[in-house]
Amino acid sequence: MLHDGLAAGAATSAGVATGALPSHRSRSILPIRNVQSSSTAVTGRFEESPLSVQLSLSVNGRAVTATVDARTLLVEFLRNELALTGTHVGCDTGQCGACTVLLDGRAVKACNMLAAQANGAKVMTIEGLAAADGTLHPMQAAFKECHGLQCGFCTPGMVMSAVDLVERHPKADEKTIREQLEGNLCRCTGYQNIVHAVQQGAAAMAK
Amino acid sequence: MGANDQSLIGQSVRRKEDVRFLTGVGQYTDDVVHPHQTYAYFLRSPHAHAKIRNIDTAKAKAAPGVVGVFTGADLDGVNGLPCGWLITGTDGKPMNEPPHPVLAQGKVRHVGDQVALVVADSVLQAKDAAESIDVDYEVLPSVVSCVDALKAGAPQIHEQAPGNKCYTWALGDKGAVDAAFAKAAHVTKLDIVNNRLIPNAIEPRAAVASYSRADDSYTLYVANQHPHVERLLMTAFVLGLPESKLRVIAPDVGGGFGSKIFLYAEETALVWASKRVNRPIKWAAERSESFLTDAHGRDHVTHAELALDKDGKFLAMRVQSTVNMGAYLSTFASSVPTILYATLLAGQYTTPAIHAEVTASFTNTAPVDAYRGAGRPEATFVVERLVHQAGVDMKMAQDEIRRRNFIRTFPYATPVALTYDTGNYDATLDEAMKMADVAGFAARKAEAAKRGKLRGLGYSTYIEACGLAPSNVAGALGARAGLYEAGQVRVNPTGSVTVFTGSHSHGQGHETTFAQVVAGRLGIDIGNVEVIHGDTGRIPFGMGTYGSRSLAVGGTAIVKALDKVIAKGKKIAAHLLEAAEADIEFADGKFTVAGTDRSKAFAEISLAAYVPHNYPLGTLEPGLEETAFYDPTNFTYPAGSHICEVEIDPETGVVEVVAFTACDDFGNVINPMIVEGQVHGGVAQGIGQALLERCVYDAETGQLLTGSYMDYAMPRADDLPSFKVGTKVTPCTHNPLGAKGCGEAGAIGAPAAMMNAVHDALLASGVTRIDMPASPHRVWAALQAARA
Repeated sequence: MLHDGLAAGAATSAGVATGALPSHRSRSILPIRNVQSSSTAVTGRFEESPLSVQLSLSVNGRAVTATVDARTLLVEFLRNELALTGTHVGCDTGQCGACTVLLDGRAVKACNMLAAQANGAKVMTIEGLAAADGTLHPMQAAFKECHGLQCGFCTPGMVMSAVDLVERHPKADEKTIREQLEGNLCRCTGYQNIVHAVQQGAAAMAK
Repeated sequence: MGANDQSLIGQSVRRKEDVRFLTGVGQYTDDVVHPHQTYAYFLRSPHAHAKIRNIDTAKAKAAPGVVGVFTGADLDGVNGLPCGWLITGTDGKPMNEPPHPVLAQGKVRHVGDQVALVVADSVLQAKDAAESIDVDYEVLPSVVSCVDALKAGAPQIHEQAPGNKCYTWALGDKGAVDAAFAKAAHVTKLDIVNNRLIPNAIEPRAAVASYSRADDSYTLYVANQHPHVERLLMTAFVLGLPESKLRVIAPDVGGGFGSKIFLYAEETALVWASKRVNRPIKWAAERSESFLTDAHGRDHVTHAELALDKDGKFLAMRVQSTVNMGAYLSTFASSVPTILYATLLAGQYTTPAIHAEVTASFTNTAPVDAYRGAGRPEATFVVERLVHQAGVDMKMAQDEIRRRNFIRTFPYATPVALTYDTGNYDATLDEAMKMADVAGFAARKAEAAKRGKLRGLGYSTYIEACGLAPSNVAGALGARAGLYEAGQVRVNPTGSVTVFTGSHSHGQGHETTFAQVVAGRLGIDIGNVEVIHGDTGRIPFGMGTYGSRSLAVGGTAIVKALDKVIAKGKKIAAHLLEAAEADIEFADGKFTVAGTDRSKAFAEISLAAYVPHNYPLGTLEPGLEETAFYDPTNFTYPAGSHICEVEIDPETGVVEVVAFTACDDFGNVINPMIVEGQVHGGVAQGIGQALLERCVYDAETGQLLTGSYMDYAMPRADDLPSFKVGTKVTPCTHNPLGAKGCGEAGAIGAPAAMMNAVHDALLASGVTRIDMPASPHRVWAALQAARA
């Protein structure tokens, strides 16, 4: 039942064995080891001196460096440190997909990985999807045109998942789209117009 | 859309609000950041029922980053949370209304009950500190079933509610019903469980409270569906403040479905504590807290009977329901299984005598209150399951038994207190049957049988009552609030318009629909209309959004304000055009002297109103801004026909919804795209209830077993088909828009349609009862039992 692009999030949160993890996950873990091994500031008990890590990554095309508490989740880093509040927290267990962002071009659930795991990566959030002049990405435009959103809360994650979905399945039929969106919950739309939007967005992205 | 475009009405205008949501710049409550803000964490009860012997907060108060730790003992002068609807029982006494404390007072009554509030510089510090609070509990036996709670010897939850009873309430003429049953040719009987649901808006509840020492006032950002009522209840009933000292802002809200109507303990505690710590406090529920503490929905256990004559005419209906209030009375809990339930038991039918008796009990579970449809899905499920079963019993086609009993003369007074203004139930049924290709069903069923699958078709011809009103009637029935709506139209000097509405949009698209209404009526560009909602500091008053009321009630208030704007505009135009006011006509955005080509554009009139150099100052105030309050004379009555087709794999018990058709009558439609979207979402929640969703508490411990998305089965994209949606129109007769409301229809009609389809599919196998949700396990087990 797991959406292949989002398997990392769902699998780790639920503690369920789910087969192979996508490659980006193992790749993004490496830099955190580097940070930990090279850090000389990490001393004492955890409660007394929270472990901090240094990050260097690209967010929406902008170079970002920061030092954060090692426990910081990627979604917390995006929302609280970078003020990119378009990425939402809907369940904090990797189930709802509202926090989906692109990590090196692949959809991941940002509530379900540490900011440190994104070290060295290129992160794209909903704020980075439209063109610099404000022109909507074809998938954003398709969601508007097809009424693929109502309250808007799941929308950023849904759109980011859809972009990744189309990259992997440029000619997906309805069944495939529904299966691939299984990791993103929407309580408003009944998904029908989201499916239309993904189809329309896919056609526009192919042009 | 160009100016002067009356044709805006009925057009699928793309939504004005979408770009901010699609680009990530919407502002939900958890996105609000105040300087020096702190973070709240609520320590909650791990037990379903326990006495609190002692709470030791000393360690927590000394923990790093902590700025405040509060328990029930600290809330001096803070009242409990009120219930907004008084139900009077069959014994003539008011319902039992036990206290609903903001923080536990000596006892906890459900898992998740809030025990202490910790405020700290960070969420993690607040959580860490909460962990160090030592609560000495004396665990008590608990009860979670609404039926078990009423049994002798059940654990007593509130002193003020002996036997855990909230009320027994009844509606209808019992004598007439008994007499009709005595002479019936056939009686159909059913036992029905309406499964408990958890609303699960994808945005968890959240609040940010701040206090200003400068003027001793508070500001609360909160994910809420009706900020004025939130303010009224919190200030007047709980905190003892003047309303003017609290501004409530419900910014972008990520879905509500009823669960964000209510006044909750958390935001109340935050407002109170913000003065004590003198810093803003933010709280956002974790999903597990949402599962534990958002008001749940449904949870009825019902026995229902339908009496028929030999021709299949309904003679009478008898309904007995036991319903779950949870541990405390939530804001509108008492009205949902009574006023919003029993009144709908006539459905679309001429059943001349109906009697319903409802007993509500307290249990050690989260409070239960309105969830999308609120009482009406439960009523529709009772009626439509009975009608389906009667058709089976009497070997009548499902459309035929319905048609024999349809109401066709309006207005129609039901035996359960409502008067339907208008409708055409044959029209929606005919259209739905065409759309669903009912004629081709037999062939599809035969084809499915060749593949070893069981196909079934189910109908639900539902009615709902929306836009609850008028206030005086509701007041006589126990409502403790008014049921009107307010709208304010501010025409700015250069002709743009700002509309302030007491309705609240949390996905419904009011910024677009209301702008269509305003732009269409004023003949101005829709881009020049801005709709503002969700802020007690900017909007005169409001009763918010619930019960599919926003367009019919809130939209009408705006129309009434527009009428005043146009009337004043005519006075100004008459002055400028040196004509009699009676000769001024307004159309296509122009004020014209009748029969001439002399006219003034809307923006010329607005400019004159604000720059009154050539203006009748002696008789007319400057400015162009009008407010209207609209209290409807009746409910509206959306109705429709839903037809569901399922295919069941008897080997696995898996039910697949292969087709779902909805043909609804919502009265006049302003934006068909938005209406269809509302139907899609409602149907998805209805199918969710019938196929997937079920809130389960452990009967022994009272622990919530379905407390995460791994355990509570939310409908996902691959659980649902694409729906076929259509409309037929009989305009509402008592509001100027002719609108009835569309928000809940899907959730009301769909569960019965789907479960009727499931029972139809299983009929030949001898299965007679499947409760919601029709999970593979239940269906498979029923098939095995029927074979044995």
